[in-house]
Amino acid sequence: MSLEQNYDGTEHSPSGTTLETDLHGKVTGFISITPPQSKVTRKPVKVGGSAYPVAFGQPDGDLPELTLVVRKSYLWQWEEGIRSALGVGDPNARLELKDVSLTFTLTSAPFDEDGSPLPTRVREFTALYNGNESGSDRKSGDPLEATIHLQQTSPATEK
Amino acid sequence: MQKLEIKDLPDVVTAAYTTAEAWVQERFRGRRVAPRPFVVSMPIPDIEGDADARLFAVIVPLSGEARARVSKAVTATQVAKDRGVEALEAAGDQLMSLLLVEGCYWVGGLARPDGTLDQMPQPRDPRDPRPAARDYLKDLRGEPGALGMAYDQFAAAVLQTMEAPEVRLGKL
Repeated sequence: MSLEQNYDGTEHSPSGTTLETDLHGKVTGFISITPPQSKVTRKPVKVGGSAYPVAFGQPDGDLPELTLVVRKSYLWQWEEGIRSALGVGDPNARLELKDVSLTFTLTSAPFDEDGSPLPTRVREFTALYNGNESGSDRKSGDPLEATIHLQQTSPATEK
Repeated sequence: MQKLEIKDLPDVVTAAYTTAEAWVQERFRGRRVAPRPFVVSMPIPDIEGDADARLFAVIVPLSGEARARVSKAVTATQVAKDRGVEALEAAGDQLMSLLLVEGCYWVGGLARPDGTLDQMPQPRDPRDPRPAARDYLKDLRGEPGALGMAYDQFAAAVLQTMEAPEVRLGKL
């Protein structure tokens, strides 16, 4: 589980980590997700001849693409959730082209190296759905997993 | 366990309370409810030469997610009853540890021989001292007398915050 934590040591967050979206509710087939980014960058504004910035620009969110790994059997539920939210009846519709924006809530219930619980962390962010791929051929590392691609659109905030 | 007025507290406890208040405000920023921390203390009469010795803790309110996690831990304790004594003890220990790590922000206030007041060590992550408070209380469990009971007592105090304020449902 690749979750950023604020604690040193070998803390881990096994089955207690859950993911919810505003369209699907709890993502029951959730396996892992790349850490959403909280950082934004502000570019300095300089005027001619000035050695130091006179101001800083609006936050520029160079937010990453995220990879959500789910159980392959869950993938149809994922797509169905989006279809029903958008009112799309066609099962072959290209959902990744429809600019579907989702709000994610990542709840982590971590433990430290001794197995003692650490405080619960809840992070919220929005992302666009960029399609999925599920390998079931011989090249796939694990045919039971499916990968959902997301483009993070807002910095992850602690709730 | 006794709830206290902030004006009657030692300076070190007041400082911890003020920090906890700012932390809670930041943590619950943007929510509908901005809860407040509170201070609890228990007497430690066993300390030689100090009949008024007390151990203080600053308790912070649990978030909804933390509350749900505690509820699951309570259920796990009930299920563990059927699995024998060892499983029950392990589940109970996890529950108390979870209560403290979610709700206990600061512990301290015992007098040192030099007259200053003892408090928990600096946390590894200064933004969230709760794991350090829990670990400090865990260390105290080996102490004789009332001090050894602080872990259980403060865990029970956090549990009480889940029950209060009392909610009554009514209908016309």
